[in-house]
Amino acid sequence: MTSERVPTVDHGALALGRRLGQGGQGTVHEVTNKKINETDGGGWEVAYKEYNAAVLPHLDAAALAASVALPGELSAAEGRWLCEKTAWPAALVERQGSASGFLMRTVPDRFRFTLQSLGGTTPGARRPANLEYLLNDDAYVAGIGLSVSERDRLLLLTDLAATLTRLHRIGITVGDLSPKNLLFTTGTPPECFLIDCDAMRLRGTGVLPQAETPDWQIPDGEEKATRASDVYKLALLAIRLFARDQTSRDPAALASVSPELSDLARAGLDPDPARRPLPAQWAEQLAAAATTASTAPAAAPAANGGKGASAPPRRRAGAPGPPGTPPGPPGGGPNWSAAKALVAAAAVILVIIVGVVGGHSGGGSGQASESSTQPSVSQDDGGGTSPYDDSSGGSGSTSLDPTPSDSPSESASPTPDPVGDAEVGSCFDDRGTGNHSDLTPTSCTSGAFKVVQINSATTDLNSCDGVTDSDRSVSSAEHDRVLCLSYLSPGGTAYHARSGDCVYGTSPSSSWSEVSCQTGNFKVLAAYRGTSDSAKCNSLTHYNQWLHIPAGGYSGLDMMLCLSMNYPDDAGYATQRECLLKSGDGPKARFTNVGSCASSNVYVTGRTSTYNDAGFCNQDGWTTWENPDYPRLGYTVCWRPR
Amino acid sequence: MAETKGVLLPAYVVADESGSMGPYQQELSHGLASLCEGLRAEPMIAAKLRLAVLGFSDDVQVRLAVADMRTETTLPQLTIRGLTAYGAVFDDLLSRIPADVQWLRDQGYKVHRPVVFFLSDGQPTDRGSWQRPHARLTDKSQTPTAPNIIACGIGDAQAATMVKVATRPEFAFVAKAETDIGQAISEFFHSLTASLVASGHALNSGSPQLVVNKPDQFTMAIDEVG
Repeated sequence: MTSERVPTVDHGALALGRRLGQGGQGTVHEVTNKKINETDGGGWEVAYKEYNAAVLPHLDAAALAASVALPGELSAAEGRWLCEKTAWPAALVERQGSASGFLMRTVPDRFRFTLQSLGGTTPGARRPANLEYLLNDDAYVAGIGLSVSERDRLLLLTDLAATLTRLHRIGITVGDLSPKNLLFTTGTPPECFLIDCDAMRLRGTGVLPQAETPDWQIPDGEEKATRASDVYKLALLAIRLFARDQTSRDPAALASVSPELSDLARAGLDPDPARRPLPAQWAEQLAAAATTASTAPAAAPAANGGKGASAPPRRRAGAPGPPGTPPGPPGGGPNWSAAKALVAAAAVILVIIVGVVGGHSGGGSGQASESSTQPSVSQDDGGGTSPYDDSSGGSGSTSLDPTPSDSPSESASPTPDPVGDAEVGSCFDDRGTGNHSDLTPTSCTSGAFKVVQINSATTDLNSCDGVTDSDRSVSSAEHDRVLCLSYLSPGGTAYHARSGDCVYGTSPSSSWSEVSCQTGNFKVLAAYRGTSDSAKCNSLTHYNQWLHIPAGGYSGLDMMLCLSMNYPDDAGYATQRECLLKSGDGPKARFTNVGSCASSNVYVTGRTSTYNDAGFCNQDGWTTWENPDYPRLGYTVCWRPR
Repeated sequence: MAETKGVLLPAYVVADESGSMGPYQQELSHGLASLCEGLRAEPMIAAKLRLAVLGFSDDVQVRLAVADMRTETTLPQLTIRGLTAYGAVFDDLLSRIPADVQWLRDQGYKVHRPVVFFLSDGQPTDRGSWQRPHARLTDKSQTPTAPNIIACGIGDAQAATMVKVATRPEFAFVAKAETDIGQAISEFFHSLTASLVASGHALNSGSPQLVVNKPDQFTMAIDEVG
C-alpha cells in the first residue's frame, strides 16, 4: 500500500449538513458537497463519521487507511460488490494532518422504511431498516408497517451468509455482527447491507478495539472478530430471526423451518470455534429451505388488540383518547424532532456511506463505461485539490473509476483460470464438492488453501505426496500442471503437526500452534487425517489428550492428533511400584526411569492427579507438577527409597 | 435449552394531572406520545424496559400499566383533573411497585431496581402527609423494591420539595425561572426518553447503571436550594 492509494480529504474541504447520528465512538454528519459514484443514477450521498476525542487515542490510523485503500486493491468486480453491500470507508478525513474520521456512502434508500406510528396521522421520516425490527413478534413487525414473509427471512439470511463468505474471502471479518449493524430490504431480492464497517477487521487488524453488542457476545475467552466468531453470530441471528426474539439461543426455533438449519445452528454455537460450519454451508441450506417457504407476510395486529398472555397485573384505568382527537402528529412539532434526535443520539444510528476512490490518475476513461454501477466518485464543489478529484481535467463532476486493477491479467482475461494463473504463495477457496475442485482466488487467511508447490508437465495428483504441508492436490490438463495446496486451518498451525512434533493451545477449543518441545506442551504421538474418532489414540503409550481439528466443509481433511503431555521428568508417567532414579533434592529433584530397579534408588508408592497433594502421600516423599491450563493432567507422585 | 428471559427495568412516569396543568395538556400529550413512539421505534431498548404511566391529582389513575411498548397498540392519554396530592402517589407506588416486580419475576425475568420519573407543577396540596408513605417507599429495608425517584418541578413546584421527593439530590431538577412551562414539559419527556434509552443500553453491559440526563432548561434543584 502506498500513501497515494489512500484517498484522503482535509476536514476543511467538507461541507457538513445535518447530524445523522451520534454514539459512543463519534458523530455522523451528512456531507453536502461530495458524491460517490455519480454514474449510478446521480451518485451516492456521502456522510462523514468523526471520532470523539476520547476515541482518537485508540484509533489505529494505519488500519483505517488500509481499509480505505482496500477497494482500490481488489478487482473491479470485487470492489464494486463491497461498496454495494457495505458502507465501507471511502476516504480518510484529516484535521491538521491527523486522522479524524472517514467518509462513507449513506444507506441506500431501499434499506430504509417509514415506521408506522401509533398516533400516526402523518408518516414519520424514513429510517434505516435495522434487522432489530425483525427480532420481535409478528404483530409488532406488521404494526410498524413492515411486510415480511418466512421466505423473506430465509432469503435475507441466505444473502447474509453469502456476504460473509465473500467478506471472509477478501480478508474481512465483521466482529460486531448484530442487528444494529445490519440493514435489510424485503424487495426483490431480499438482501442485507452492512454498516459500522470501521468496526470490522481487515486481515486481522481492527481500526478500534473490538466491542460487542450485549446479548450478541461470543463465548468468554474466544478471540473476537474472527471467521468463527462471525459464524457464531450468524447462528444466533438465524435462531432469533425465526424465534422472533432478541435473546433466544435455542436452535429448536429453526427446526420447524428445516431440521438441517437447526443442526447448523447447533453446530454454529459450538464452544469450539473449529467445529462451527462455514457461512457457505448456511447459504446452501437456507437457499434450499427458501424454495418451499411461505411467501405470506406476517399478520397485522388486531385493532386495539388485547395483550393476552403478556397482560400486566392490572388493566389500564384510563380510556384511550376518542378516535377523532388523536395526539399531534409525531413528525410535526419541534418537540418530537428533539426527542427523536436524542433517541438517535444514544442509539448510534450509523448511517451512510461507501465509496471507492482509486489513487491512480488517468485510468478512468476506458473502464468507466464497463458498468453503470461501477463505484466512482465525483465532487461538486469544483475544487481541484481534493483526492476525490483525481482526473486529469479536474472538472466538478467528473466520474472516475475508483477500483483500478494493477493486474494486467485481470483486465485482459475476463475469465481468469485460477490453476493456470497460480503461483507458489497464491491462495484459493475451494468451493467444489467431492473430487471436483472449484478454485477461487482469495486472500491467504485461515480457511483458504495456499499453493506450496507447482509441479509442471504432469497431471499426477500423487506428485504432491511428500511435499511439506501439502493437503490437497489439484491438476489441470489444459495447463499440464499440478498445484500442491496446503490448508490454512482456522484451528492453527498444529493442523500440520506430525508424529514427534510438539503443539500447544490453552484449551481444546482454542487455536493450537506447532511449538518447540518443552515441559508443559504436548508431543504429537500420532496424527490421523479424515477422522474425528479419538478412539484411535487409546492404545498409544503416554497418550493423555486428543485434539480434533476440523477442516470446515472439506471432508477428509480434518485431523485427529493424539497427544502426550511433556512432563518435567519421568515421574509424570510413572505408575505404582515403578522404579525411578532420583537425583537432586527438594525442588531440584529429578526422577528418571532408567529401565532397571537395580539402578534406581526410589519406587513409586502412589499417584493422584491432584496437584500439590502432600496429604495423599502420608509420610512418603512426593513430587508434584501441574499446567494450570490442563489441571486434569497434573499430578502428585509419592515415592519411597528402595 | 433453558432460556434466560433477561433483566428488565420497570420505569414509572408519574405525571401531574392537576387543574393547573390544563394550559399545557397539549405539551403533556405530545411529550408522552414522543416517549412511547420513541421507545417503540427502538425495539432493542423497548425489550429491556417496562413502561408504566400514572396520572395523579386527588388520586392515581393508571394510564399505561407496566407495558412492553412493542406490544402496545394505542398511546396512553393524560386527563386534567383535581388537586395535587403527592400522598396518593406514594401510597399507590407502595403497593404497585412490589406487585409489578413480583409479576415480572413470575414471568421469569430478573428485575432491576425500578425508576420513577415524577413531574409536578405545584406544591403538594396534602401538605406534609405525603412524606410518611414516601419514606416507606424509599427505605430499602421496608420496601426491598424501593425505586430510584427522579423529580422534576415546573411552575410552582419548589426546589426544596423536589429534593425531598428525589432519592438522590442529583436526581432533583427544577425548571429555570424564565422557562415556559410548556417547553419545560417537552424537555422533561425528551430527557426522559434519552435517559431510558441510555439506561437501556447500559442495562446489559458489564456495568448496568441508571443514566439520568438533566432536562434542558432545568437546573439541579440542589443548586437552587443550596
